[in-house]
Amino acid sequence: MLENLLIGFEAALSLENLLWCFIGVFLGTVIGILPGLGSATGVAILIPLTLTLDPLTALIMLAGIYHGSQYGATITAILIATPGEASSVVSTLDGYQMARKGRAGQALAISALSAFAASIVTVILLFTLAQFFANIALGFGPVEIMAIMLLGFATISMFSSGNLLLGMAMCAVGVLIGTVGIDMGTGVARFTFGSVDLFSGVPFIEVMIGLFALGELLNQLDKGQPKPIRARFRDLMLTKDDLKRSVMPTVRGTGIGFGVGILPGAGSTLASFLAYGTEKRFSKNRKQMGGGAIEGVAAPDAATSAAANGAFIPTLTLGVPGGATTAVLLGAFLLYGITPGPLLFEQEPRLVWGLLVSFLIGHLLLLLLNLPLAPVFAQLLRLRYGYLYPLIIFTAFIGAFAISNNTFSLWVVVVFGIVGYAMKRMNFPIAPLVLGLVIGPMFEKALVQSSALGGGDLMGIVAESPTAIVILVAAALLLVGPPVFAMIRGKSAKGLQIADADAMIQKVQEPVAADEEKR
Amino acid sequence: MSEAIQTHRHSARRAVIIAYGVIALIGALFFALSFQYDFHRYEDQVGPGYLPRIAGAVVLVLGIALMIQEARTGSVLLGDSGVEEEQSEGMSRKTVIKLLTVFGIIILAVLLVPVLGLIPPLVLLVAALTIFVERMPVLPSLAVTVGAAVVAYALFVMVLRVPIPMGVFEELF
Repeated sequence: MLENLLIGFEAALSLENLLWCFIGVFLGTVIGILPGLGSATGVAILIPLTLTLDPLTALIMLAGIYHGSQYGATITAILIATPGEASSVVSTLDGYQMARKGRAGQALAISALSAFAASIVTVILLFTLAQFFANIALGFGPVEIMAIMLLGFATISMFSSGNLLLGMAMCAVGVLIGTVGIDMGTGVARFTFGSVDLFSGVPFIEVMIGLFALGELLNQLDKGQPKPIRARFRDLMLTKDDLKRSVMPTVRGTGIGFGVGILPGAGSTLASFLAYGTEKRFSKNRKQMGGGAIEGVAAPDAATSAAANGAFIPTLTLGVPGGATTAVLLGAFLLYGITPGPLLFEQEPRLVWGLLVSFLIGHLLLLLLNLPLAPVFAQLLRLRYGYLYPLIIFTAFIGAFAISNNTFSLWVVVVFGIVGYAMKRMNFPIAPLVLGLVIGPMFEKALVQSSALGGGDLMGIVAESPTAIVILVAAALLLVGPPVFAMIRGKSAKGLQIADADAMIQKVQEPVAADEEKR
Repeated sequence: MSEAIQTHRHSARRAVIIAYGVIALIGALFFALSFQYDFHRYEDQVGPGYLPRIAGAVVLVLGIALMIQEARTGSVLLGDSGVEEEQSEGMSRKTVIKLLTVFGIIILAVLLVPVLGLIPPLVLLVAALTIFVERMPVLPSLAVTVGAAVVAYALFVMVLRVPIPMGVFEELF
């Protein structure tokens, strides 16, 4: 491992990579703060800018955007009760309440510190465990890979919305869209209707730009942007009591976040909800939760950061992303001609370890940027949306064109922008659709290979692999377990769920209007 | 928080039923069209029609199940869909017109790309959205528009060397 780390440090510490890492985390923070933009959108829109870069440099920048936007999203959650990311939803609960009580600076500071602590611990865990998981995955054949992808589908369907059937349907629609184009096994063109543009499939980066960027921007059109609560530099000072109260929530959040993050398809949103739920149950100050308790900021932000790092384990070792943004990042890998999976660690040690080391540097830069500059970044919230969204649409279209130099890409953005807008209005989950689309072709490849290995007896070859059976049983339990369990228990109280997100934001934002009037 | 997650009884939401219907239709289309391709290759191995047919059937069944679920119970898990809440508040006529205008301008800009090249229609799009749709002050809007055009040209054409179509302006460059 030490040798690999040295390779990683050597690669990541080059002047060029350091510069792009800084640009990535800086842009990420800005993207996280700006309304209508999130990490998935930011990464999708900016992929075209990285096309001429070395793949490692490009991935360092994109990963920087991913991590930076998590920080930025929390700033908006705390200052205007509008989370920039789904994973920051729970940070609004106590973060905004702290801000209302004049403790915005402390909320921002503990958010940055807990996220930083979690990220450093989990990057070290990544260093230790990534190779271990890659070695295990090396023993996996197409049958096991296929089973893991099914587990990823099940996880994201289960946790991405309040409606399991809807999550499954969106995931399957993504898989279906992924079947458009030339079939890798036989060379047959499927669902192309004679269009040459569709021979290589529906271009997924353009789809993501449409779904995330255009869809989200249009959805924001009729929403006003409240002015942020003021936070000054001197307000960022934490008291001893603040720090003491935040230690255990950060530790718990880190553990939960990393554990959830390494599950394929689970993502950081689930991690932050679980961490908040745990604090509500176990924290000494649980009665204050929801009213501005510092634990309610430290735990979910630590979990989000930990999960964002943990999500790179399935992404890099198995090629199965942890959530929507890692799915977009996986798309970037494929665009650069790199296929993530266990062999990546053997074939591209400079890229893998350079990327992992860059996380460490990126988080350090983020802390340095966010601790003193959070109030400065918050000024971005005063930008007029009327100027902002036309510029983002402009960038999105030029970026989409740059990927394949084809006007067809623009139409893909338009069509999926409309689809994304409709999905946003209906609150349909986008993450399963994206995961299905990105993983679908790889899943089909594993399916075809498994079938060939079994001489056409797919069930037989699956039955010969105990690992695949265990994974498939876990996937089935994930889908069938909760409804059966709920039926057995009857109308028992449920925990905090991602499905609650909208209701939670609505509840937290109720006082925002009142605050606006007062100011 | 528990009150926020309870399942409420509501009348079925038409927009949601239609959306689920579209999902079912997508499944049905893929399922039907998949019969053009072989389900199996030699020795009963997975063929090009295998995944589209199975996934199409799954989407069709799930779409129908979602429609039935919505029609029968009208149950809304808060956070599952904000459609009903939004409808009850009503999307203002002004917002609808604004949305349609934005969609229209975007589509018009993309239609103009083969004629005017990539950057001019997108520049016009920014100007139209800021000045006419958002009613922002003209001079700052024009400054933003020109700035966007210059930055885009410098970045994509000069730095990244993306071969951007120039349409009728091809000969000028």
